[in-house]
Amino acid sequence: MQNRLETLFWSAFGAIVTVYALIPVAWIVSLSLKRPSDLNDRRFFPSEISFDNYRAIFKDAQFPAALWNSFGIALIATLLSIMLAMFTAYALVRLEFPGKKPMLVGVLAVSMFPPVSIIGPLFNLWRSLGLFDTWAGLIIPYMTFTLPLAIWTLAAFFRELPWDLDKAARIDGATPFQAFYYIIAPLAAPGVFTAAILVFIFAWNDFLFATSLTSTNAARTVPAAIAFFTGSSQFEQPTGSIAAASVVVTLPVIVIVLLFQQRIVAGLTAGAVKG
Amino acid sequence: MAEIVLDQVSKQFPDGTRVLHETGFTIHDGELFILVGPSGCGKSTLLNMIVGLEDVSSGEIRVDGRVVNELDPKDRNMAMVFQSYAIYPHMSVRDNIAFPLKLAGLPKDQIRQKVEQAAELLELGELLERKPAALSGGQRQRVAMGRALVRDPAAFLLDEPLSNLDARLRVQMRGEIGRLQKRLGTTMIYVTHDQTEAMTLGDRVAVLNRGKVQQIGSPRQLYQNPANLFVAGFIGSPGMNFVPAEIGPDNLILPFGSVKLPEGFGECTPQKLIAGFRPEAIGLDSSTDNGQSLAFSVTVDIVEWLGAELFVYSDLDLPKPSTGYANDLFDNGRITLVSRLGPEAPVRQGEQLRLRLNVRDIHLFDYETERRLAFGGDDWLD
Ligand SMILES: Nc1ncnc2c1ncn2[C@@H]1O[C@H](COP(=O)(O)OP(=O)(O)OP(=O)(O)O)[C@@H](O)[C@H]1O
Ligand SMILES: [Mg+2]
Repeated sequence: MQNRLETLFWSAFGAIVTVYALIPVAWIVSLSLKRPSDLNDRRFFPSEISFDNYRAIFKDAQFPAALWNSFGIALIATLLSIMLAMFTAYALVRLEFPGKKPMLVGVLAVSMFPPVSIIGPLFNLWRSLGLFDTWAGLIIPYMTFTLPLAIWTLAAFFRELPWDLDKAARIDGATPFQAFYYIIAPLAAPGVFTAAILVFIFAWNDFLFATSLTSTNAARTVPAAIAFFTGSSQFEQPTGSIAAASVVVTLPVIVIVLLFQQRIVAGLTAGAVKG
Repeated sequence: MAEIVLDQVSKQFPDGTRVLHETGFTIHDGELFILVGPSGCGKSTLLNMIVGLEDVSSGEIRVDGRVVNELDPKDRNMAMVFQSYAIYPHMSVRDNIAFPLKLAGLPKDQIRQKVEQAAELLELGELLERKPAALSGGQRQRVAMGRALVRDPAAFLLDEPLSNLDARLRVQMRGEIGRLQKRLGTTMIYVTHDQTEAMTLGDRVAVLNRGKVQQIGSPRQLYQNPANLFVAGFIGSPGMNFVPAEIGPDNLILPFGSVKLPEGFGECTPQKLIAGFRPEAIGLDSSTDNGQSLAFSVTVDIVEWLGAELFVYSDLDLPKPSTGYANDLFDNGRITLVSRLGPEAPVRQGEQLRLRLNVRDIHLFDYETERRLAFGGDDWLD
């Protein structure tokens, strides 16, 4: 009895939170599917489903270019950031070296730094270095600002790995690379995917750097591009296009998370060592 | 096959802990060599150094005459069972056991056959497709054993491989390991806490304490001619009894009486001595005095009946004017003596009991150096 009530309570609670979080999303999806003339009809569901808004944003050269920029920049930033973070986290967890503690604290300090405070100087610096409005101009700050998060996530994860297994593999006749490939990498994969998804989402969703450090289709990403949408006439709000673009830009994140969800299973290392 | 020589090997960890002090001994080719010692004495560290997981701070490790200090673990071709098992959680039992063979590049059908052989030996047959998370502690330990035993290494290093098994499996596996080692003739180093394993399994046993080898010898040598107080107390269960002792003009003075000095004890001149005797050296006082034994009374404290034998723990008060050193060693002048009696001995808790100690069973130790000085009986020679 107790158990049924408890289950009921938790399911109800979960349902409420989910609905609460999904209402804005549903609203945007609904808006994007309305005909431009129905936008202000004050109804939650579109009276007639139309894909005009989607057609419109893809007809404009701006949006596909922004989508391409977003993908490229976010992927490269994620790859670089995770790669660096993996080496750093490995060193922090596995090696003894002077200055280990200050380094961890320093990494944390970087993540506390408010990005908005360096936008101005960065703008000037990028212009004189020729990085303004380039992919590299966004990849570098994304990498920098996601590194602390990635390092801490990965370090926490690596710390939990049973490193005795690495030794066991070496004794079983594996080279260091084979030990890494057959034993450590499969066990570390969930942690790496978790960190990678976090980094990707940060880079994908960023608006601040994207608006300040880009000016054309050469490097402008979707969040920034949406802000520059115009209506079909100067008196019309681009609400429908913005809604459609928002839906399109959300899809990849959902797909990625769903794809990797099964890989992010906890407890994969259970049973490796005693105790 | 390998002869492993440790030549003045020391180990100091980066944090300054010295774990091994100039340890030197030789493990002969094809020998089953047992390493025992209390927790934290450096047994696992020593194995890790032999197999190449910890580097050697000073000294040399030689395998078949070749210095291996700098050799990579995989090139040493040794199989090891870790104290922590260290089995691969993302692989099935079969893949775990097959892993070293796969790395060695054996053909598939041969791997299959070897894995199944090992699984049969270790009673893992039905568990081959399971993941480690779904195994019990003892089953995991057997998987770890399997991974070592499928190989054909230069040496097996087993770090407490049976510690998590139940009594039946432990006895059975102990037998299997012994037989397997004899059959293969491969050098094996076996670390254990278990007295029975140490005494029954090995050709030779090394007793380690605080990073120093105390004694190396056959189980009988260790039991009958312990080199010092530590070995005497460590080998045997329950351990040896120790009491303060003094040499008189022509007699040996123990807290509960004195007895004519047996030949051989005359040369012991240090003032501070400790006498040690095994539980089985004390019997019920039934015989008459032949000048070679000492009878005394005790109060029975605890009686442990184990079916085939009876252990009697009795308290003994040291006489008041006992020497100072005895008080440091023997906890405010009280000594507990253990005696091993026949299971039918009519002994009850709280009773007064007459016991008799044979002088030929007494070992004398120097209190300062803790070394054994003399023995009433004859030393065991192999
Ligand atoms: N990495 C390390 N740094 C410092 N000290 C260590 C390290 N590893 C082990 N020690 C110390 O070395 C000593 C020996 O450890 P070891 O694991 O060899 O003991 P052991 O004889 O195997 O004990 P047990 O029977 O409990 O397994 C211990 O006192 C331990 O605290
Ligand atoms: Mg150990």
